[in-house]
Amino acid sequence: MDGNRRYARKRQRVASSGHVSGFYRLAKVLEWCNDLGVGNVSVFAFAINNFNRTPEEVKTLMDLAESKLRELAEKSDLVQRHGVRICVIGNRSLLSQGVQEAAEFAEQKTMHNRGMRLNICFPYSATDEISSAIRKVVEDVDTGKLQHAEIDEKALESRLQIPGPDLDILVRTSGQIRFSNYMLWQSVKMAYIRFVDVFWPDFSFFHMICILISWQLAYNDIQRRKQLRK
Amino acid sequence: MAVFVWFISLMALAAIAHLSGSRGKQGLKQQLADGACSVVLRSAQLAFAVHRSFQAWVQNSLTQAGLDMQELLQGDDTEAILAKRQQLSDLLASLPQRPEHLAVILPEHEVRENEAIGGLLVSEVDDVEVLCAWGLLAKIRRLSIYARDDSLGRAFDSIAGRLRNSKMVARAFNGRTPDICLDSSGRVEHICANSGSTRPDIHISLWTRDHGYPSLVRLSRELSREVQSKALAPAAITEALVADRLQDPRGSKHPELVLLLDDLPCVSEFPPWPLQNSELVQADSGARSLGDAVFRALVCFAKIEMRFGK
Repeated sequence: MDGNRRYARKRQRVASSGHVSGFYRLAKVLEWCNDLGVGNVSVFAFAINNFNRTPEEVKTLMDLAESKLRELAEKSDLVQRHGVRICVIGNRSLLSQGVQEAAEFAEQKTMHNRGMRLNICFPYSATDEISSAIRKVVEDVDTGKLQHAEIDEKALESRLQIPGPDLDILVRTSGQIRFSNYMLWQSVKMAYIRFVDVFWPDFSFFHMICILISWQLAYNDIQRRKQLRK
Repeated sequence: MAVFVWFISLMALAAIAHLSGSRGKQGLKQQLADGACSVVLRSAQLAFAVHRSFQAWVQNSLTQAGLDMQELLQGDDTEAILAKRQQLSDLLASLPQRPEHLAVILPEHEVRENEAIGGLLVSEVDDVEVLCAWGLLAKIRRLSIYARDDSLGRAFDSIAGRLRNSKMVARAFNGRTPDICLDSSGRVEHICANSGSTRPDIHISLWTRDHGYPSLVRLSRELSREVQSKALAPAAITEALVADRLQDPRGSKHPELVLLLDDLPCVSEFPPWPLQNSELVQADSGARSLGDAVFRALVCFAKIEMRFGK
């Protein structure tokens, strides 16, 4: 979900208004995903190294997260009618008490929902995720829950913060063409990668459909490659 | 004008079918709607194809008028070619930013056998030779070439032999013999070593899937052994420690630019850890040769704003 601030700057507004627009775009995109039958959506809301931004902006983002997490969990149509389950992924120890409580609230409120799963990565980095998985594997061997010989790719993958299902499509908006430390383990497993040159609040249904159609056209080739490897 | 009239007629027919409202004509309405959608999509596809063809024509014209990438390193050393090569070298040197470490993702051998991959690729050995030459031309010190299935590692000796005697590589290095270090899964070979130099002119690593997930598994096992032997506490396994253990012993940075030479925009289990902040460029469908694809990727990289975490 990249490009909120540049979207705001383009309209001569403050950066925080871009983040608010980004949230409303997220709500729209989630509706489309739900209507299209997408079972799992992961969104990159805040990177761990975004703490390097100005304290004012970080505070704005934290306040926005706190209020919107509660709003999503309590009032949104997606949760009430469609049973979306919210999971907040990342290193929560870096968050303030208020945001941690909001995250906990959103997860508890929706934990029994059986609809689309929404992973909100906040604050997240893929290298932190992989390091945590390695640490958990080592801890499990140390406590006897896992044998040393059982340390393999599956053991690591099951301990990731987003263990599955396999990522099908990765989209990055704003025209930047890098992963920026997002879902690296998951993305390299034959995820279909699209970089879209549009700011996140401008991401439209047309953009989404184009991506889905091009993925559909490539689907058979992707499956064939996966079969080749088995 | 004709297209406009035709489009309006179709819409009128669709509207009439909609307004008629008879249950018996439901099939006709559906067919008209399907037909209209199909026409719109086909028109959009045609417009897009014309646009892309136009773009390709513009690019080809520029290339013909200026620099033919294929000819520059493979043609004989005429005065004209030498001048153009110097022109290209100056152009590359003038780019505002160039990667110190370039990674290239090649398709697996079976995929090469069964798919055309845009006609850019020839064989593993030829492709490594071209990539090495372009790396030298662009003064890229570190080049990592990835193929999931170790087809490059299996061709190690052939690749080393080719690079040792390559005229293309020499041309890219101003007619001199470069000092190349080639490594692949534990094998290291210094090609055309200059005994006086402390650092190779280019270091080429041949990567496979083994450099990715399996390396993280090996690290986990190693750390587990250290914890079992009480040399390390589990809580000490931080991101910084993992980064340190995965660091290249030669101290190279992660690739700043990754060029994907495949029709599918998938990175085929490329090592995840080094990919953190790499720019990923898929070979342009308008590229006429592998060298052209590399050149376009470097130009694309030169224009990128580095905005990490900002």
